[in-house]
Amino acid sequence: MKGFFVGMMRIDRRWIFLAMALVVAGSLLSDIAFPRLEISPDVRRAYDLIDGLPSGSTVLFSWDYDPGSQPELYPLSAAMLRHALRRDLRIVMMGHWVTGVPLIEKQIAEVVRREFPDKRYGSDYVNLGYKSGQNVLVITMAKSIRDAFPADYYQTPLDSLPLMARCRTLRDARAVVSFSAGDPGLIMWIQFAWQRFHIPVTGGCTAVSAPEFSAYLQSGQLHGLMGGMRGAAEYETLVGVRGSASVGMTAQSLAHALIVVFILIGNVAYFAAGRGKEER
Amino acid sequence: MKKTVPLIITFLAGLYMIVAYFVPHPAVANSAQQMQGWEIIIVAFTLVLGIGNLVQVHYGKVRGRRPGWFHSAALLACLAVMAAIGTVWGVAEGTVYYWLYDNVMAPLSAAMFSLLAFFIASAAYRAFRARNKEATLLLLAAVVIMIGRVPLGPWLWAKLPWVGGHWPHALDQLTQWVMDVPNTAGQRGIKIGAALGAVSMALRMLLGIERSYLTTGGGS
Amino acid sequence: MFNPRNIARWLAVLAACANLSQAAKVIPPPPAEPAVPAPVSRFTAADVPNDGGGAVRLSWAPSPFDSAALRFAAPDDPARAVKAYRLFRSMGRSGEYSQLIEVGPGTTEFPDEGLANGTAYHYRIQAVGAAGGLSPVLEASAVPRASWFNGERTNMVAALVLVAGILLLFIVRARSGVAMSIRKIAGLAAVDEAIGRATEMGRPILYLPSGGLSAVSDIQTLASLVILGRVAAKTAEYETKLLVPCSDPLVMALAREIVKASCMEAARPDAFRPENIRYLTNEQFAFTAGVDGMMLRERPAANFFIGTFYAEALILAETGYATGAIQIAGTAMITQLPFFVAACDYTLIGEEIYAASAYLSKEPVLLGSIKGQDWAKAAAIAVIVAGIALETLALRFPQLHAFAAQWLLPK
Repeated sequence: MKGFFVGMMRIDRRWIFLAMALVVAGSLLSDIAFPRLEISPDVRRAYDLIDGLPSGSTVLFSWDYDPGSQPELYPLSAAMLRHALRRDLRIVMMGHWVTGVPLIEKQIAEVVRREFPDKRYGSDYVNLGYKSGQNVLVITMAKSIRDAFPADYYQTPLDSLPLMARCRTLRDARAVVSFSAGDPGLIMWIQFAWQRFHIPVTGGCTAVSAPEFSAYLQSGQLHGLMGGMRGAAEYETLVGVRGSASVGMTAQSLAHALIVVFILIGNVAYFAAGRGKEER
Repeated sequence: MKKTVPLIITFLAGLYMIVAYFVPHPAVANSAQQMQGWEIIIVAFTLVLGIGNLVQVHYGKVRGRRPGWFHSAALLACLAVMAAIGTVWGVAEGTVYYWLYDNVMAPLSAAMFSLLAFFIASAAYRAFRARNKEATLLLLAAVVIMIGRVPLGPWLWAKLPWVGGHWPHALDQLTQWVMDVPNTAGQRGIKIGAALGAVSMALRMLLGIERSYLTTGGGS
Repeated sequence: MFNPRNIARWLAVLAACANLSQAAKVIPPPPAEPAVPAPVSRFTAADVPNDGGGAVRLSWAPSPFDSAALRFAAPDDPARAVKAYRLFRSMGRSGEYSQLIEVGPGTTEFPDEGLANGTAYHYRIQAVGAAGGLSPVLEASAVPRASWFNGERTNMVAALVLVAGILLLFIVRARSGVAMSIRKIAGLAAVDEAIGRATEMGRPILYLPSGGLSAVSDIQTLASLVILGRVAAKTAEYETKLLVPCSDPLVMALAREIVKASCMEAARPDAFRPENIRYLTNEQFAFTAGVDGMMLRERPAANFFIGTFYAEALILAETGYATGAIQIAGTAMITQLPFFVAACDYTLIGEEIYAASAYLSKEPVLLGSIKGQDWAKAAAIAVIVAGIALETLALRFPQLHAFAAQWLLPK
């Protein structure tokens, strides 16, 4: 019996991987759903910021992630983009990650053009694309967006876009929304857009990095946050859409439960096999 | 001499940027911004350095038919093909480049990222053992957060006899408390310490005390 | 009975009275205009302080007929409600005024930017009624100026002087020969063990100066490169192969120089192999895949992950664990620390990576700066305690809150 527990502790990790794959795939294919999803105060604040802006005001959306974190951050950015478009806000889009810029294109095609066909490029939304420079770029944009981006992603001069005639500097934006997988991302926007120019910053991040922002949320430097898939699911609930994040919540619930089960098994084996005999 | 000149440049440039943080007058601010502009340009040029190194290393491997040379050949081919189609047909939606991005690069990156789910499971299996008091506390906090942050947690909690009825929000509140209080407090401590460490490191570099990164002639 | 609405009503009446008192100064509207709204009050123009100049802030109290700001004071004739304010600007007091902008009701300030410093600008404001009637105009003027010091950052200057002063003091003390000691840092003490083990096994060492996203300007990367120098000197001495994959071309160039210098220092110039220090890609997960591949092919006996890491941290550390390598990690990235702690043998937490060069070299001046850093931390703790005390006392003496906000909050 003891031998079994020692074996359990040295279990080939590929069995754990297999169990995880089966649970996640199974729950994505099935239609189990857990009913209650409490809206956390952080997501509520992010929602309220966007919801409280007068219609017609300009917001800056920054896609600061790349395809790697797309599964987690795409539903989150779609939810907020949808909300902003419904509220009739004007959206200036950009990205600090060069490999993430095609994701803006994707979101324009899948959210803006499909669900809001009457929104016009140039007057309702503009895609500035990517520019290197990170914080230097933000400071330049605060002086003049034209200096930072003489033309948009499609090489149209900014002067010929009506939205950009009204949004000349970053300060003309009523809020900055960043979907952030690392640096440059939310922290940079907080440090520069909020600390220097007092433009409210909100957005979303991967679940792994969410705890890092609690200090910024408590100090009021960050105006709400969607953390990972759960944050996106809450936002989808607020907007009234059952999107991919809400669907993914079941998979995430069961994956977490599986990890807890593994932790329990590991501890049972640890004590049953006699402590301290688990060195690799 | 070889080290003195870079040290002087480091000191002056660093000092100037610190001064510029406090002086909004255009006489200082404009030149400081221009310096930051140079940084963008220099960083953009380093990409050439990177590509040059890639080509050099992998071309050498292919030419010498060293083990795994065909991987290097694939890398060089991909580099050339992506660069060529991006330059010739553009990178906007609907182009070949975009198609390759959407159907090759994006799924590959996402696959690497999703490895996290598996590795978190295996690392948690190994790491969360109730070895001593502290480890047990860590383990309990981990379980509360993992269950409390997903809809499954409140759902299970509501089903618990007695506690679920008497304190329906207890799990939510406990989760939020762990995140807001012990988690944030610990993070702030590490953050303040790390920030001071970074300031001290920066100051050592500005003053030329820490100069091993300037090389040519060994450590400090 | 106290009622905030009553106060607002009184304010509206006071504002209307203020307008009457200014009536002597205002220019009368053309007599033919019907339904004239009441003008704004307290119209001021002022240089924006603490800026690079070229900006004037115009502000005013809304007209009592402002439909957005004070609905309850709406006039009997709805045509007199304010639908907009027009702002005009002129370079000379008697010169030609041209319209600057028309802003909506409810607006009470406007920043006029892009002006020339040292020139006087004159402004006028006029309320526009719903039927097009124009109120009398009010005038104000200002001279935009550039500031030589941003007064809002005085507290930052104080913090900078304090921290830099403490550090310098201890560096000077160390120079003058005062002995300094540093506590044992397990992760750094294990560096020799890790290199020794790799040498015994005849397998290489893998050193990552950062994850897949970092740049050379990142201070953690620089700290990591300093540690790389020490590691490289040891590996050169033992003739152990050192692999350094980089995600930034400049980091690669710097790492090469550092390793080369360390090999020279160890009198083993032939140990320097530039092809082992290479650029992979700056794409986060492609870099991760590349490094994982190196771990599985080359089977390094020791892995160092020191610097800025994001989501790749655990993917790298778990792969390293699977290959059986001894692993030393170090980062100030709070969210990745738990992963490194779980999957690596030793982890340098936060500031320990910045203390590494002092620890490894035992050079008195560097140790002095670490000692100074500790005292700076004590000062930071003192400021935090003072802030808490002030804010707690502010519950009783509210003026203390203003003091704390002025001196302890970043602007």
